[in-house]
Amino acid sequence: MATDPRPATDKRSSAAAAAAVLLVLVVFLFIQTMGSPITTFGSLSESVLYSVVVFIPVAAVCLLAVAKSGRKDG
Amino acid sequence: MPLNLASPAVAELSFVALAVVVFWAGARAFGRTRAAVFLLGSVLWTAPVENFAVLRGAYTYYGYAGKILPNYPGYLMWVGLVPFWVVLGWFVFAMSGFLIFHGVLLTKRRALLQAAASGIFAVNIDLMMDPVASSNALWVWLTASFKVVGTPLFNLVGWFLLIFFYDLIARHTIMDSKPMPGLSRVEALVFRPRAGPGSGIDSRRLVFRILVLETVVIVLLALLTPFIDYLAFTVF
Repeated sequence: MATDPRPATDKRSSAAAAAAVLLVLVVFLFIQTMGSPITTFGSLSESVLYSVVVFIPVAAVCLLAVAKSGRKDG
Repeated sequence: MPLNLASPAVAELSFVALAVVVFWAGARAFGRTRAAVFLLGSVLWTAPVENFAVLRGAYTYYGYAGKILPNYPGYLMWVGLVPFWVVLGWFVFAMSGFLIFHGVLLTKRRALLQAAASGIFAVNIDLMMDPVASSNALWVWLTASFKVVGTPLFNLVGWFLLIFFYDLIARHTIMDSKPMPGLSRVEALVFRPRAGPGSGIDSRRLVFRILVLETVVIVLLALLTPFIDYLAFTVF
């Protein structure tokens, strides 16, 4: 943000904190989803597809945000 | 399926805790005032849309009404017909997406790209949260719309639109003071010229933008839902 004088490191570490919290939430939700009667997948390929399309991108974004903020701060 | 009577309280407490952490992160990144305005703005942004959807009969949050205690509606705090933790959930996902994509992953990219990434990110989160919540009756879908893993397709479109537009509003109004494409001409008639970038949050302009774009989202969803359902049922 051009008009925000706060240091970029504050923003990155805050983003990392939010990403870490979201990661915990999505891992919990993913485990729950796999056991949910609504999403009981008919085959292994369905659950793999769900994991690849839905879970892995979110987890990857969270991990990337944590990793990237840590690397720049260091 | 028997209901777990602790689920509503667990959901309420969890989302209050999540909102506290995310608010703290937002306050650290942008300052307490901007984080508070972001929170209030997200309540104003999502509560009317949620209430509208409930009133239209798409879903209900009264799955636990009268089941825990005779006159207890299932949740402690409400904004109209919507539990407060649901509104807080919108804040959690909007602020997290904003922090992640504007602050770390897509810095210096176009605001539209950042908002779109945040919207898609939120849709994916909903694809995990919705099956868990609806199978536990935290909300109950009443619509016969086309569903993906138990979630109506129009709801996913709604998630994208809500997060996408709010991200743009926050970027142009709360975190900075910039004209929004498409609204500039109307705003020039309604408001006096801005004092310039960095002149603080223009709360009247924020409310105006929220109300105008909220109407756009509601109309878009109302128009798109039958079309999305028709297309999905035809193709699949």
